[in-house]
Amino acid sequence: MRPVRRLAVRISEKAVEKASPGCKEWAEGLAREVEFIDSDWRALGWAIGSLRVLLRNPPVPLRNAEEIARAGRLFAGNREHVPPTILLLTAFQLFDNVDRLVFRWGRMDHLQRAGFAIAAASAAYLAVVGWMEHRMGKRPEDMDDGAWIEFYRGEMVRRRDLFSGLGILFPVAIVLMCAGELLGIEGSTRPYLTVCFTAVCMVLLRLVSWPAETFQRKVDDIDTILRQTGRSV
Amino acid sequence: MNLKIRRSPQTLLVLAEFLEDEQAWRYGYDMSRATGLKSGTLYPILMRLAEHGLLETSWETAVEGRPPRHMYKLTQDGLRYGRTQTAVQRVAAIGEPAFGGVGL
Repeated sequence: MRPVRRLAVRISEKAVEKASPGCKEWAEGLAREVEFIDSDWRALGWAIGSLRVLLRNPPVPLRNAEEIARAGRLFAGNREHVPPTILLLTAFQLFDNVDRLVFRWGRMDHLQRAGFAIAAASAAYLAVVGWMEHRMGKRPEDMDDGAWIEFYRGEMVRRRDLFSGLGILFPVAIVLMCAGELLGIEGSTRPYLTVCFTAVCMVLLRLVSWPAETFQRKVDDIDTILRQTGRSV
Repeated sequence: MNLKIRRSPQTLLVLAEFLEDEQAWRYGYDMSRATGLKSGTLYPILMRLAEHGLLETSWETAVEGRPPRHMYKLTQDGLRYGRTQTAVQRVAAIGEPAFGGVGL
């Protein structure tokens, strides 16, 4: 196999590996096509294009008990191989803001101090919730579908409880963190900019599904399928 | 049919290509060659169509020495949607006056 072709194959294999559960099948489909493309360079172009599939994150279809078990396996696999992105990003943000507050305190005005303090507090909150969200219960060791269904449902219930309890302000904290950063920018228009940004985001937050609702819907879907298939919930 | 699918020229191109042979299963690379769309443009369109139940997917039966390929075909809803959308496009193209229209 020539180097260009080998690179194309490697890229498409990576895309399959990294694809979200809902995209896995598509990424595999894309990867298979590489073998049917005659030109090596065209195969490379095709493989690079397949990386765009990674940007999509559609929900995993849950239509029967086997698909729930499959979703459970994919969920566990993703948790083990994907770093805790939210935790890492917010921890960096927290460190950055605390650093500014400590070392640039004297050179900042009140609004900037307030902005960075809000951003730091929000980042700390997001980091804690992000860490709790990333934690996972013990994954089943056997191949039994029942155990994986129970595991997946348990994980969804745990996340629903997290986001309807301690993590209920998760989306608001993201907005506050960005608003705090905005308030920290130098310039006379920043208070107006921050107020406008926060107001628009708060309106948008009313339109999107909150995490607790998303996980509740998933639990409901699982329960409905389990009831239909005569399994105990 | 009220679907939240962006009716982009590329989507219409894909739908039109599927309508060329409504019952045939099509491969991704063949669709790409026929429409001139790159994989990074074609697949998000196919995925959106499938998410809306307009496209069905299947894996080809494995043949010895050849890996199975992913195949795509419009569903009945997809065929209806495709026909409507391509017809709308044709009407729009006919109704559009050339050079901004000439008043008589």
